[in-house]
Amino acid sequence: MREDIRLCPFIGGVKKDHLDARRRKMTNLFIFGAGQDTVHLIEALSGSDKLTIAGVIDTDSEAPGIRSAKCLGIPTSAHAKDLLDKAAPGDTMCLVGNRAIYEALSKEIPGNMRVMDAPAFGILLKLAEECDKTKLALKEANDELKIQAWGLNKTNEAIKLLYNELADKNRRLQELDRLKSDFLSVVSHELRTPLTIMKEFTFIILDEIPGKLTADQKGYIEIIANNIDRLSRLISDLLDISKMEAKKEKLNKTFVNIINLAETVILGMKTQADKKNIELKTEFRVPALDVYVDQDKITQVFTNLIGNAVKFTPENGVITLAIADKDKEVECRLSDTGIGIAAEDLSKVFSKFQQFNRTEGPGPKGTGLGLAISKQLVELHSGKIWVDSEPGKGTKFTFILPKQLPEPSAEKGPNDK
Amino acid sequence: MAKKKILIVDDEAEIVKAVQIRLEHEGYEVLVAADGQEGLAKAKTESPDLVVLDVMLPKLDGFEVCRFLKFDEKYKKIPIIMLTARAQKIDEDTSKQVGADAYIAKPFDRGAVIAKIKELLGE
Repeated sequence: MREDIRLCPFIGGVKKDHLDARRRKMTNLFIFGAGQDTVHLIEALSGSDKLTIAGVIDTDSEAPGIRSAKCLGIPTSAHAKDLLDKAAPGDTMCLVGNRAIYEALSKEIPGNMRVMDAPAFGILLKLAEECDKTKLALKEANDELKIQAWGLNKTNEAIKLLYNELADKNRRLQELDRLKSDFLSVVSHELRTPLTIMKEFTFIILDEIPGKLTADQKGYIEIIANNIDRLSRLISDLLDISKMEAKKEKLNKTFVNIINLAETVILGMKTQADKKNIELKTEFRVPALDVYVDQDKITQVFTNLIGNAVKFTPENGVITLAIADKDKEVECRLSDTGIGIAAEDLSKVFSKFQQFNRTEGPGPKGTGLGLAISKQLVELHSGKIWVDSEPGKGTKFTFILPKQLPEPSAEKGPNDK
Repeated sequence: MAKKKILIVDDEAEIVKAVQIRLEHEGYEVLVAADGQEGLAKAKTESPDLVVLDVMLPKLDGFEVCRFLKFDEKYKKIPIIMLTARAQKIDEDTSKQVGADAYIAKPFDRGAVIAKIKELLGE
């Protein structure tokens, strides 16, 4: 195909605007066509000085006013070839005529000359126009983007400033936090020192190092020793609570078999329970139940709940611990046959220092903080704890803990839930 | 057989007294010092068989006293037990770093301290 010649089809009617657009692109026009359309085209083109119409193939119409026009008769492919040969680079060749001629001719056209029909050409023109419009739109969009980029830059700088401020504030907070933790350790030390001294001397006397004691003296000093221990436990519990409230308590989670954990605590309580002839029953439907929890903390919860049950259940009572697998959670229920809790006291059960008028059995006196701490420990594990009780009908404490085990699918890890 | 000498360095006089009563009852001779400087001086001049050293001391802290003794050819053989009420991991790590032979947190179990002393004295 001769790429140096522009093709320009006109099929069917010649529209003026088509003509105007194309006229600009035409040089040294060769018109290959037949019939009235060719005449019309020539007439339409004749007003232009810039166009040289160099070849025309037509039948029997006249073609007035055309310079250098030559009418040759019914166009054939030989004529097309002839025109092609005569065409110089940059020339435009027009195909004009009705569809039938066009189709007939397009079969005849020699070589690889490409023919496009008018609609297609029209579309091409439109595309070209659209292309120009798109170019313009792109430029405008680009300018718009430049403005936005500038805006974003400013925002970026503002963010950097805020970030620095935030980093500063963060440093100050960390310092305050450190001071607070120092406060807790200082308090811990200051409170424990006099207790240690008291304890040491109490035991020096009890061990009869400075001299023998009478039975009364020994008894009274033992009371002192027990209360020193009680004070020690109270301080530990208070520190536990303030650490948890200051959100300083970090959980040290590992995979634990909660059944094992519970059994260990129960075993430890046996001596106390036996003293009151209390039966410690367990209802574990499975031998093992794994959870991802802080072992020490959950042991503390069991110890507290079971210890309370033993303390507040009268002789010959029964305490039952049931642990059940509830799919994503584990449910632990501790019931006793104790004296129960009055309805108006139920809401206060987990408050600090609430000890209702229940007669306590032997053993060290409680601090009043055990249940408050247990509640906080359970909630730190995202669990829940509650109590059901009726006076005379015993008490039941229930707590659930999310297992927090990894899902069976490979994507999730142990901390995902 | 001469009594074994134990040096206690702690600024809490009453705690020191309690420990002293116990140790003398067990048959040891007890020396005391109330601050780090005095403790270091007595350790060098009195040749104790064992030193019980508190961490929080005025003038020179317990870790420094331990370090001075343990990094000195003449005194490094003396067993040192460090005592502290802070009970933080960092104290345990530091006492290992300065060469202490044992680390006991306050409030200490008197049985544990005496057992440790006997152990370190090879009894």
